Amino acid sequence: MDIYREEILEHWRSPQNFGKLEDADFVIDQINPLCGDQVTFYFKIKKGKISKISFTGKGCAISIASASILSEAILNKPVSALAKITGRDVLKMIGGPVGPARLKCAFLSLEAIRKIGSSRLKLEQ
Amino acid sequence: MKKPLAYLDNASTTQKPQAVIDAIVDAYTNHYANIHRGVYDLSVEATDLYEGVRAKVAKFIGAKSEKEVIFTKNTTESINLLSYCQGRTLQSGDEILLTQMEHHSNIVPWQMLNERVKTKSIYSSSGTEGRIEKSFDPELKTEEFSTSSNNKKVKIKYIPIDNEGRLDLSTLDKLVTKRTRIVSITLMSNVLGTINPIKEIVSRVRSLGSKAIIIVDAAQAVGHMKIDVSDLGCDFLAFSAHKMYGPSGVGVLWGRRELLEQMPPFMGGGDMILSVDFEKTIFNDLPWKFEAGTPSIADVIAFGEAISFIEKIGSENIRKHETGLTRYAWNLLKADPVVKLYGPEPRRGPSSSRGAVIAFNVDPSASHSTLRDKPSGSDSKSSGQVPIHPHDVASILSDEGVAIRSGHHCAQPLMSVLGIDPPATPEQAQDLRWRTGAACRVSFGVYNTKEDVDRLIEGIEKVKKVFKFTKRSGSSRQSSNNILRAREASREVPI
Repeated sequence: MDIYREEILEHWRSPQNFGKLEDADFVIDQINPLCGDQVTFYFKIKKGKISKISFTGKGCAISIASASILSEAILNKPVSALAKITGRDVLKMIGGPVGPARLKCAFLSLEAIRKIGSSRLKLEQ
Repeated sequence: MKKPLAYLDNASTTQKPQAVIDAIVDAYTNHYANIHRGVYDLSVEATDLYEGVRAKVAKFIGAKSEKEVIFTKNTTESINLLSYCQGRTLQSGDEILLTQMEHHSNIVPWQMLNERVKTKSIYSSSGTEGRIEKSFDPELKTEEFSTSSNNKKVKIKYIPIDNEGRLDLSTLDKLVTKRTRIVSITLMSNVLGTINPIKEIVSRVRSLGSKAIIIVDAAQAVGHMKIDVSDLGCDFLAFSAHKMYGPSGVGVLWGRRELLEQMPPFMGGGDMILSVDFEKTIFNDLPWKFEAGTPSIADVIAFGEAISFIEKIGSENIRKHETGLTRYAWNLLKADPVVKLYGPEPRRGPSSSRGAVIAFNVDPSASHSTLRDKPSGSDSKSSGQVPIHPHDVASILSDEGVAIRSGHHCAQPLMSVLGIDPPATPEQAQDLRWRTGAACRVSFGVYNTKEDVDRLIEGIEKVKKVFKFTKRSGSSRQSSNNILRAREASREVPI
C-alpha cells in the first residue's frame, strides 16, 4: 500500500504532540468500536486559538500518523476553523487515498476534533 | 494486476462450494413456496426439502431425533434464545459459568440476561441497577462480575486460561457451586484455536453434583472436526451454517428434547402455534415452537448440500488436512523472530487439541534476538521496536492477495487476558500506543494449501520491508534462514 511512505512511518514511530496535556481546557475521546482504536485529544485554548495541543491513544500506523499530522496542522489555528476541516483535507495531509477499509483509521482523529465544534459556544464565553 | 486470493479468514466465514450456490438457485427456481402452510404440491415439496435438512443435521451431529434440531439465524441467535428461554428460570443469586476465551456472543447475552432477572432490588430505587461491580478472587486469579453491589442478581464467573491458552480446569471445583445454573463454553476458541475438553468438563461438572445445563458453542468447531452431541454429553449445542460452507442466515440450536419441551417459546408469531384465539395461544410442538415466522427456506435447503460436501470429504480428512496446514504455518511463523504467537503449540495428528486458527502479532519486542540487538537511545524507535498494528499487517497482506483477519475478534475480554489489550487507567494512557489492542488471525478451510501459507509468510516479509525492519533490525536475514529451514523440514513431512 502506497500510503506507508517514510513520512507516515516517521509520524507513527515518533508522533508529534504525543502525550498528556496537564493544563488542558478540553479533553476529547474518540473510539472506533470496530477495531478498538482509541484516541484522546487535549486542547489548551487562548483567545479563541488552539495554543497547545496533544494526544494519546492506540491504533495502527495510519490512525497514529493522522493524529500526529492533524495535531500539527491545527496548532495555533482558531477553534472555529476545526469544523471546516473535511475528510478530503485529512487525506491530502497524510498524502493520498487509503482505501475504503482504512478510512475509519484515517478519520478517527478528525471525528475527535470535530466534537470540539459542539463545545464552541462554551469556549467563546 | 490483482493478485490471486489466498483466503485465510475461514473462522470468520467460509467460501461456498458450487453445489451450495446451485442448491440456492435450484430451490428458488424449482421448489419454492412457503413451508408448513399450503396444501398445494409446491408447498409440500418445499416443506419436505426443508424438513429433510433438519433430519440431515440431526444425523450429522448425532442427535437422537430431528425434533431436537431448531433452525435459527446463527449461533448468536441460538445462544440468545437460550439466554431468554432458559434464563427465565434463573433467580437472583444464581450463577453462570463461562470461560475467559468466549466470543462476545457467548458473553453479552448472559450479561443482558442479568438485566432481566427478577429481583426485588432491580425495581428498588437504590440506583444500583445496571452498575457493574467487579471483584477479584486472588486465589483463582479470576474476576467475578455481578450487576449489583449486594450480589442479589446473577453472578457470571469465568474459567481462567493458562499460559498456553488452555482452560485451567483445576479451578472447576471452586467455580462450580450449588448455585451454578448454566455452564456455557466454546468447543473451539476463535482466537487461540484451543479445542476444549468438553466431555471432561461435563463429567467434572456432573461429578461435582451440579445440575447446571451445559451449553456448547460449536461455531468454530463445526465443519472442522467430527461433532457428536451424545459423545460430548452436553445439553445444548449452537452453531452456524455459514462457517461450514453453508449459506449465511442459517444457524442451529440442538437441545435435549426434555429440556426443549420444558422451555417457553422464544419469539411469538406464525408457525410456532397450534391455535390462537383472542385470549390465548396453544404453542406448537417441537421443533416448530421455536421457529416463529417464515425462515430462510432456500438457505436451509442449501445448507443440506454443505453437510453433504463435508460428509463427502469426511470430517477426519478435513481435520487431518487442516491440522497439517496449521502445523506448517505455525512452524514457519515461529521461525520468524518478530512474530509473536498466541495459543497452544500444535501437535501432530488429529489428537492435537487445537484447531486451524492461529493468532499472532508482528512485534519485534517478542524476539530475543532482536532484544539482544536492540540499539540504544533514539535509534530504538527507528529500528522498528514498535509492534506493527494488525490493521497495517492485514492491509499490506491484502495488497499481496492474502486475506487475514485483524482486530479483537469479538473477544475483547480474552485480548485483555492475553496482555494484548490490558485495561488501562487514564494515567497509563500514554503507554497505550505500544499496545495494539488487537491481533492478526489466520484460519484455514478445506480448500487452503501450503502455497497459501507460503504467500502469507512472503506477505509478512513484505510487511517488515514496508516498516523498514530489514534494514535496521538485522534480524531479517536470520529470520529468512530460519523460515527456509523450517519450510524445508516440514516439506519432508507429509501432512
